[in-house]
Amino acid sequence: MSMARRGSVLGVLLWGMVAWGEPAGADPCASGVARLATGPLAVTFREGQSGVARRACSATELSVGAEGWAVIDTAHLYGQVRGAARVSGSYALGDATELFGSLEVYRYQTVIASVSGVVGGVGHLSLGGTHRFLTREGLTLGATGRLILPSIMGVYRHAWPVELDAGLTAEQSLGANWRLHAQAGVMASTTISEGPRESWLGLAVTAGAGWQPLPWLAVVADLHASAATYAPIDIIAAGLGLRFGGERLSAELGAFYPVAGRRAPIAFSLNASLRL
Amino acid sequence: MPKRIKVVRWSVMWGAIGVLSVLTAGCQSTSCLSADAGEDCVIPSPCEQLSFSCEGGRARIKIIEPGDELPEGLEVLASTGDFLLANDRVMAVVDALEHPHYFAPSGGALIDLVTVEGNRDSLTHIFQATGLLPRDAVRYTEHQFVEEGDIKALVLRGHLDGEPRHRVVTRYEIRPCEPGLRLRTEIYNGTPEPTMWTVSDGLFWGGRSNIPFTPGPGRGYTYPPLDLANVDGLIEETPYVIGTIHGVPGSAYVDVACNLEALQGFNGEKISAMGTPRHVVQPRDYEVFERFIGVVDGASVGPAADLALELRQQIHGEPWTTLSGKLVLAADDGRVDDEVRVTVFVSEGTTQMAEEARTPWTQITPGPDGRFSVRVPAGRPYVVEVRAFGRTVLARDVRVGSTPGDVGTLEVPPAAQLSVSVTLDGAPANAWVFLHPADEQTREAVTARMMEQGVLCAPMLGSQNGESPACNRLIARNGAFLLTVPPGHYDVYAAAGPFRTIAREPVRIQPATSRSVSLALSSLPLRPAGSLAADLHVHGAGSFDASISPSEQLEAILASDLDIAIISDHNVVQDYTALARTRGVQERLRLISGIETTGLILFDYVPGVSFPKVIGHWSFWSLPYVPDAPYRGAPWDQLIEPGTLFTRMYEAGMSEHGLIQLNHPWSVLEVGRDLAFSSAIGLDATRPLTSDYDGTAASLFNRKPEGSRFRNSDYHVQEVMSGTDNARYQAYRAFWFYLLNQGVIRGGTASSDSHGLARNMVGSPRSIVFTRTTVTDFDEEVFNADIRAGHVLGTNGPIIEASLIDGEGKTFRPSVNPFTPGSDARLRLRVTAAPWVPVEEIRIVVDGSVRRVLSAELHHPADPFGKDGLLRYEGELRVSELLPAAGKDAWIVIEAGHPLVPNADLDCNGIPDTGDNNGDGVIDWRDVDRNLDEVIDEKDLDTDGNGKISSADEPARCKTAVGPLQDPRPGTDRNEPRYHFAAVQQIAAASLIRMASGYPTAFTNPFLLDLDGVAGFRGPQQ
Repeated sequence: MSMARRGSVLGVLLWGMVAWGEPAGADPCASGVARLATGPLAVTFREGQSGVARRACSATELSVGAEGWAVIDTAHLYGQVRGAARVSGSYALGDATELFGSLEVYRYQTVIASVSGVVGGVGHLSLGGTHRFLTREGLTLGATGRLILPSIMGVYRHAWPVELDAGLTAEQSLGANWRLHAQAGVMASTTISEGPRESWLGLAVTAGAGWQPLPWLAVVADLHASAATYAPIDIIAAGLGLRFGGERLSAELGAFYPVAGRRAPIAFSLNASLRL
Repeated sequence: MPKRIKVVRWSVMWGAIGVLSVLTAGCQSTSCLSADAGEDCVIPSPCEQLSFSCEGGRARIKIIEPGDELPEGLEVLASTGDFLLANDRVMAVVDALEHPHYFAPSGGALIDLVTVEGNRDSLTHIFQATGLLPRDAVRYTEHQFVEEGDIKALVLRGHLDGEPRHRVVTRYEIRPCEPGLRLRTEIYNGTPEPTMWTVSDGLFWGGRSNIPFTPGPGRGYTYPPLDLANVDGLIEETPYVIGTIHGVPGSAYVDVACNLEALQGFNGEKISAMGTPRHVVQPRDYEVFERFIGVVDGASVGPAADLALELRQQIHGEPWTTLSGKLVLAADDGRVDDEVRVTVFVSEGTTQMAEEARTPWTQITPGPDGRFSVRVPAGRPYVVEVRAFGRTVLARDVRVGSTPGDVGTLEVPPAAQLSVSVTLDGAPANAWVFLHPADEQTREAVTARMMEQGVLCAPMLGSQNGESPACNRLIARNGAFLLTVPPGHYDVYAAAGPFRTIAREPVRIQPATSRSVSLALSSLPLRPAGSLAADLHVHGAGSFDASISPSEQLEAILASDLDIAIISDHNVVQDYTALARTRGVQERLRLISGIETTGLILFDYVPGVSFPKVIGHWSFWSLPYVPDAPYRGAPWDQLIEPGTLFTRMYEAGMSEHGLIQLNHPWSVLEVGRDLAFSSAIGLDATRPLTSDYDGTAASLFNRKPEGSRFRNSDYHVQEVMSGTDNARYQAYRAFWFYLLNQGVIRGGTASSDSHGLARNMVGSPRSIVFTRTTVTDFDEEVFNADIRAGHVLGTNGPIIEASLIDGEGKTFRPSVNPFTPGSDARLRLRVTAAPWVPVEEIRIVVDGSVRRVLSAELHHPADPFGKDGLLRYEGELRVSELLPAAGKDAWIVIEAGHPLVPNADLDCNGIPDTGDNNGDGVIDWRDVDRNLDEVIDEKDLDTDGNGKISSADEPARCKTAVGPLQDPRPGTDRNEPRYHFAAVQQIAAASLIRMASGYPTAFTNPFLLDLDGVAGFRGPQQ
């Protein structure tokens, strides 16, 4: 089965689960439970958060975090390790709409091959928005988009990627402690370059569940699949994360482990958020 | 999927792309790296800052056809089908895409570059790569000619060998009037993951050939040893790199970056890599490297550095000025334009600074009038240093402003003239002549390196890689040589092979004087009847790692008293027969064209080993010489297992009666490449050999590769002794013995593996081939058949005549053919040697174990320079007393010479690998020279690299690094017999702690005794 088809099947299953779940309230984003952040884990697989699923519920908050990323392929004498400090923010325009942005304040990257090297600099800046257009019986559905700007400095030398994500994002509340979330969308990418631009298109699907057994603790499990005309970025990865804290100050520790995909990375992130 | 939804989905996608396209509009691609870039895409011209002008200049580009005018010189590789780029000043050849050479997986590399005026190619190979692994080299797949008015260019497209999405375009451009080529290489990361590149010219010097020179503190001709495990630590910046060859006519090459402030990379005797800084290249990003590769005539760095500084002035605006002066010899004792007699180094700094803190910028040998003039960066202080015979004789500070500077006249201390004449049986004849310091004062005063290279010579009379004089020796052509030497007290030795006497004459040579030395040699009745003296492994300048000219190698072959030499250049066939005819020696010497295939491109063929390997070195003869074909008629020999290689050789025209020889069969790595197939696959000589491939590395030995006519083990003979320095003899013989015990019967040979005059000396060791053919009526088929049959004695001096006689009067001689002797069989031995060859014991080896040692019974000559005392032993031994068990097949090999020094097998593979190198009486991990600096010290013991030596440093049993093997040392007593032997078989080495040489050794092929009553020979451990 092709990666694209696998992703599609996964998406259908996800929506089936969402539809199957019993609604707990009219608007899952307005739940009365003291809640931590909702939605998929914010762990980056690719450049500039491309393909990273976005929550449906809006909030005004400021986050700082660190993320790491590693590929180890000893058989081919190849390895790479990437670390970044990230600042993110979002602004809720009412209940239904959120604008968000994220900047890799500094990225460190090393590639280990027959010769090794290190690169560092300001990373990607991404800007986006989400608008919920449907809320019904514990389910909310929105459209989301993210533009990754060619802001990266010191890391690329002759080409700067520009990417656009667009998709549908949904969250479903299942009782007091359980939530489902999912996003399906397209990714498009090109570069600003005097060399080849090699634009590509892709599909990304993320689905998962959150369980909040305690008011200050939640566990999140996600499955991510993506496929593109640029075949090597095909990946299936399983993620697990913890969210803890309170309604204003919270943190998320998440990691993804590749299940399939050539040289798919292990990725993790740690974010602390202050809800304003 | 409903059609409407599908349409919507694709609309969204293309809409997204449209948005991005609008955002990125105006960024028109100007590169030819796109996957769909067609032939109409023209890669930009490189180095646009440069401008050269001349009257009536022209440039041309073409595919070479038979009869075309081509570059000439020692290293020419051009063949029909290659690309020729030429202008009024230079000629360059880029190999055709289907003619890859050396490390490159395809053609498209620069293989020849000469000036039109000088036309002396000494370039080995310049290829493109982004790292150290084979996958990092560029494989070109398409070519295109571009003509833009006077500008001609060859554009090559391809990709990195390990990843087709790492696309590469290179433009070789030639313009009128320019002293070289402009190059631009673009490499695009078409994968979704970042990669690590240094886009570089791989400057394959070859070793013992060109040597690199780079400006930098403590650099010049000096650079740290190449350590592939720590290349990152070796990478340095340099404004230019220059390659020069010494001791033979050649050219100097210069590489200067056009789009970088400086080149980055590393230098080594064998290979340098110079290019862009190491960059992490992100997906869809690319790298561009523009440079100018120029050529000038001669051996000095000076003219090439002048060109480099001119290029950098045009590119970067760096001003240069001229520094000149004049050297005057204090006496009429040599030529001032001889780079050994006198040469000038110019380094930035002052004489007050330590040498390693100065930055050498150039080196120049004056013209015949003693004048020199070099360019240097303007406005800096310099030290002008004059060296004679490799040693600094004077240094002067000079500050150079923006106008030309002059250091005036510099008087060089006097040397002396030495006239050497050698006779053989009263008539002038070719001979080897050696100079050795006769006292410590002289040794200290004259020990030097040629252009700071690793090998020490005492005295240093010429490049160790070049022609006579080379290091401290020379070939006296027709018995005469006049040379200039540093004053001192010397022993002058002459030798002419193991069947002649040697002569020695001590001389004290005063400054500004002339001395004559006459040395008389005599033939000795040592040559066994019905035999030919053959060196089955000889290199010349056709090899990438040799620069001795064929004519000089021929003179050395004549001086060594050989009948047969197999010309075995690396990866190329050479033909010396015309040369022999010109020299008039075709009736007394047979020179057979062969090849030594040399694995250079690593590939994955050894199961269970994570790092790729090569298949080592193999010799083949005879091969047809095709002068206008790539590799001169040989097939491409990389990326295949031995069985396939054997098949290709026969397909290329190797005689069906030809021979395949496994060379130096148990060797160390060289530039990360195994020199031997057997050790590359990790054979374990403590275990039985599998007869078929079972998926294990060791079973590759007997594997028959797919499509091959042969198994990997289907070679005919192996070297048991290889190299004048036969320190590895114990390892080679252990492997041979292992195979004999396993029933794998191959003849054993001895070869010099000579690459020049100063290291392995042609003819030492040699194979004495017992054959009915003769030189004058030579039948190569008979000769090869006798080698194949094991009718060979390997020796560097002792002569063993061994036969086995049974009670019925039948006589058997060593051979790979088994026989069943009658009752009362006796081993008859006769050992002779020239008086200067010490023979201290005879060993009878049965089934791999020494069963008997004869030493007290041996005679020793009184005068090593005399003609008497040739017979060292003659007698008989009862075979039944030698055999371990009755009724079992057995084999017997006889050895004679120096006793073997104890060596141990630390890695437990059955092959000795390490001697008592620290002299503590125990052979263990503490004896291993881990950092390969030829000294066993605390640095070797700190195996965990934590700066402390503790019990934690001791490796587990059998898991240690190994080596080197220990061999007998001759000592320094000028009257000891071993001293004389070493004096005429000396190897130029990096250290003069001992006189590196071989030790006297000879071995027979086996007697294979078929005693078990079953037809055929069964190995004792089979």
